[in-house]
Amino acid sequence: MRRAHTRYEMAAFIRTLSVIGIAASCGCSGVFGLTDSKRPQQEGASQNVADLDPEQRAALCAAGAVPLAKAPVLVRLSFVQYDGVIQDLLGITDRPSLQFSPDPTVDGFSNYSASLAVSPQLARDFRTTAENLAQSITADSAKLSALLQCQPSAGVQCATSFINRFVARAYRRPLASQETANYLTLFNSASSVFDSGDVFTNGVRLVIEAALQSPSFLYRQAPAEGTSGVVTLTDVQVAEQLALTLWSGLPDDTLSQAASASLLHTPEQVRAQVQRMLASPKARRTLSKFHDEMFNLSLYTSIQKDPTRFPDFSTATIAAMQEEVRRFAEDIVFDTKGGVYDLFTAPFTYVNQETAPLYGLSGDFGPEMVRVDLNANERAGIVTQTGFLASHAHSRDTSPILRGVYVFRDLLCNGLGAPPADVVQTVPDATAALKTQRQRVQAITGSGSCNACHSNINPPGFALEAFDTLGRVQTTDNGEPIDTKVSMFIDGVATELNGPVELAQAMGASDQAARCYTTKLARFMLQRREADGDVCAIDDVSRGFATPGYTIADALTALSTTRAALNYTPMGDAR
Amino acid sequence: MSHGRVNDRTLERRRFLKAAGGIALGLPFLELFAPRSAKAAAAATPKRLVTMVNFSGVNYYAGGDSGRPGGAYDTFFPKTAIGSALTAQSWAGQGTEALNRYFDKISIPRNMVMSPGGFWYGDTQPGNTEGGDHGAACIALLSCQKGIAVGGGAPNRAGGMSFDTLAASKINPGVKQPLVLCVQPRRSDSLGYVSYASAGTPSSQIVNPWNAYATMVSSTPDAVGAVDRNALRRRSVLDLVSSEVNALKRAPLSQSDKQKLDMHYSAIRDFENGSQQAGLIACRMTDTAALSRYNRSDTSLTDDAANYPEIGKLHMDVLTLALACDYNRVATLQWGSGTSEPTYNWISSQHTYGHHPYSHHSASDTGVGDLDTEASKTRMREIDTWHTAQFVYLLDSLSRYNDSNGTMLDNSAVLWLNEFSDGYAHGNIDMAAVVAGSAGGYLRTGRHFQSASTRTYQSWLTATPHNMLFTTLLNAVGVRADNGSPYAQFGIGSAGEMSELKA
Repeated sequence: MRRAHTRYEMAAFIRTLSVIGIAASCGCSGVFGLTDSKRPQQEGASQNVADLDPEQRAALCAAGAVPLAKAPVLVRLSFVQYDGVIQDLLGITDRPSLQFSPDPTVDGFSNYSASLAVSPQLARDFRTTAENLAQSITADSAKLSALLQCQPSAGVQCATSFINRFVARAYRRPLASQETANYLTLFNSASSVFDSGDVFTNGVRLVIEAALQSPSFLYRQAPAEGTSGVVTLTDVQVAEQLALTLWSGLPDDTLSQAASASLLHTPEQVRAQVQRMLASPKARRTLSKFHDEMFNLSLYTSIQKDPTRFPDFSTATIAAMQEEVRRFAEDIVFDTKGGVYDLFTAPFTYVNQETAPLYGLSGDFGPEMVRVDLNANERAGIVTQTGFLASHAHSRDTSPILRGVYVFRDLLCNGLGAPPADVVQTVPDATAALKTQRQRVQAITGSGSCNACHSNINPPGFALEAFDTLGRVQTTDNGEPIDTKVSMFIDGVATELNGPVELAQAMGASDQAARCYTTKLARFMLQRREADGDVCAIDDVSRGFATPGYTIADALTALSTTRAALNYTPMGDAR
Repeated sequence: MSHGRVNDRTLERRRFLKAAGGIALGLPFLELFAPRSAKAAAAATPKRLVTMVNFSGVNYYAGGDSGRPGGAYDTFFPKTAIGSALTAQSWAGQGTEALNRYFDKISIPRNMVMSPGGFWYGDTQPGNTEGGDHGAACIALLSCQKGIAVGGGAPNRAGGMSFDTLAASKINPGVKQPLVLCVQPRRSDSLGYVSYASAGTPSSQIVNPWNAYATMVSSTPDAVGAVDRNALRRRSVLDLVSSEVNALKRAPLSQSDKQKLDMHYSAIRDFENGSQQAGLIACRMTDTAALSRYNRSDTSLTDDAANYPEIGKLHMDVLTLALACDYNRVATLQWGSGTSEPTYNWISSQHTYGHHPYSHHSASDTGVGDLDTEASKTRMREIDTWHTAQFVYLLDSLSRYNDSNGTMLDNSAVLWLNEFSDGYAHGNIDMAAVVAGSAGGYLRTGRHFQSASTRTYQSWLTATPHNMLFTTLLNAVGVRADNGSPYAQFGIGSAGEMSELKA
């Protein structure tokens, strides 16, 4: 028996795409971005340059003829940068931004410069953090003397040298003499501002409290001079940019010295520094944040599983699933020194006592994460990890649609439009012929206008039906053997494949997945959507991934040294 | 709290005097009254605006569409006929039954449609809004604006400030932003925000109640009329920071860069102005035991879904104190985020899914109705009951403070607004709203009323756009046009106030 599916029900159905938090965007008609051939179009830069054919584009890029993207002069530090800079500056491990209201995300990223506003509440949070840190650091004699590097008995001399060193580090640039003088005035006001305590220590406290609220600390300031056309970053600004984008922190002495010796402006000079910086553990905090957002780990905190069926599932499971992705991605970038292919295909992962059983692993596992090899016939890389599979699923059931949308839209960067406003659909009652999740999803999406999108969305989801709602291997569904054979477009070619490992292999080897990953990496590094002026760099890096041995570190190096990285055009009406 | 009127003014007066005599230590903070400063007593009683927001809809379906199981049902709205006075039995048997106790301080508007009009009827949102219906609804819920695209891509933020921000900018003594408290917002995309500071920029959300309290404490004097002990130090620091901001603004910056700086640093100056404000009492709790558990540097407690009820209650305690001490006159409390609310398993073990799956009677890809219809409706009704209890706790809290002319509730406009009425169908026709308090006599209370239709959306739909409710509430708390005449229209919709809601 079939019954009519009203517009309300269609809306509700589309809504199920977002039951656990995915923005639903199924466009079940030809007008939502799919062409007549059903070949998916790639999302991304739709500007003129991006639309040129590859040869024309390569010629423009080679000639340096693509105008650079416009960017704002002032950009507030993202929260991961704010935390990192504070850690480097004060020699602490606090992450104050954990208590702030998260910055809004665009394209899944929380660091887009357009979103980095300072609301009154955040202004308060910055103030509170500055006050608390200034107080706690100056109350700790070891930390205080490490910051001072001189004897308070030296009086104003020590105060001046402290200001010139500490505030300049905080500002990522040398101080003007007027700035030093202003800070000395503040330092000297301690005797009238405080009614107790050591006067020198109180002066230091005031300096720290002010420096951490100054716009020169909280904002990255690009050069605005020569506001017509292209502006080239100074050596000092290159150092700041590299430190903030690669380390989410401050330049170290080596980088600062290179900048002050004017040895930080040719691509070769910059490349050497980037390679050095990527070998530092500090690069991990940036890449960790990127993969957190690239793979939407915050979504995991909303995972809900039916406790009557999955009594062992808990917040500890979720935490282990998140940590697994972080450790895995970190391993691929820094230890395996791999590329996009490895992210998609590596047959190992990180588990602890919470997640080892989900992988069918027996043995002694504790709370700490350990690297384990997996059955390469069952698992391959990121799309076979339990966190992704469980977060893109319902409380009891799998969700081929949620998983398929993520693969299609977020890992392959295919465009996917809005839900149609008023679609009449039919939904079958459960029958003996419609036992499996695949059969039921196919029945309601496999024909008519819905099929225009779902013929692309469903296949990767069906291939991943080899895993249940927790990400455990399953071979039957409702008593029926699971069918994981599908055909899907990859790199514009209809590709036959069977099951998750073949899916992962095909994606990992594709230009499409490499370009998608590169585009997202560029967005994260640039803190905005890519524009015309970034297309050349994205082209270069995407092509690079097709070369054996090309690593994610190579991609970061390339993105940090392009013309678009070392030059920019100030946005708007700069005067 | 015993049955009947919440307030025992005689008792409160006695407590007030005891507190004034300094022997009230140990009383719950809400009952600890301190002397009003002469300044506060002389000033007109401030009006306050409080908004509570829930997502995913209530247990309500008006019927009329084929294919929907079960027929019409409603356990949310009062059973008293529309157009009648509410009574102490109006919600008897409903999921919202606890509202009975406040029947004469409440009004229920009907016939109200989300504006700009939702998804199938009239002035639709721009296509392709991030997050679909939920995204568009979260964007419009408090802003009455369409979505705009920030950072490229689909519309993902409101195209203008929300009404709480407008109110705060006009009626707040110090900082010109509302206090926005959120209980475990899990998202930071279009579904994560309802309060907007400006077009494209959501208001910052405070998720940790201890932080909300600690920030208030560090920004206000220890006692009414006293000087903020941090003020002197802060002024020194602010002098230096201001000189740096001014120097920076002399650099060739774009207008938008200058606006960034202005928004940031004018707020800090506002704090200075606000720090001398004093309300009924000092912004201090006598008992911070429950709150101080949240004084920690990680987010394990605020992330843990089991703490959802406690965080909400603590937020309401802080919110009430913030209004009473005149730290802020506008507060917004957001429970969860769009589609992302916890499993309400503290209600009963039968709650194995979250609010959002129950709202659709579904937890799978295969459409709607795969969860048992009657069981889902029961869970939805239970969730309404729990939300109602939270709203009543808020009303109780506001009622415990006496202004010179009635309780703080009487001098407030309090709104409980749900993202959808019919969550199952994403229906925002006949929005599920409860208005409480009279804002000092401006609002008519005790009515279940049909608001007059001012717009025809479709042949089958004429209704009141919900921006008129906001226009009314803004006027109620004292917002006026620049020339002093009534504030004419908030957001997209129809001009004017909801006359049935005015006393």
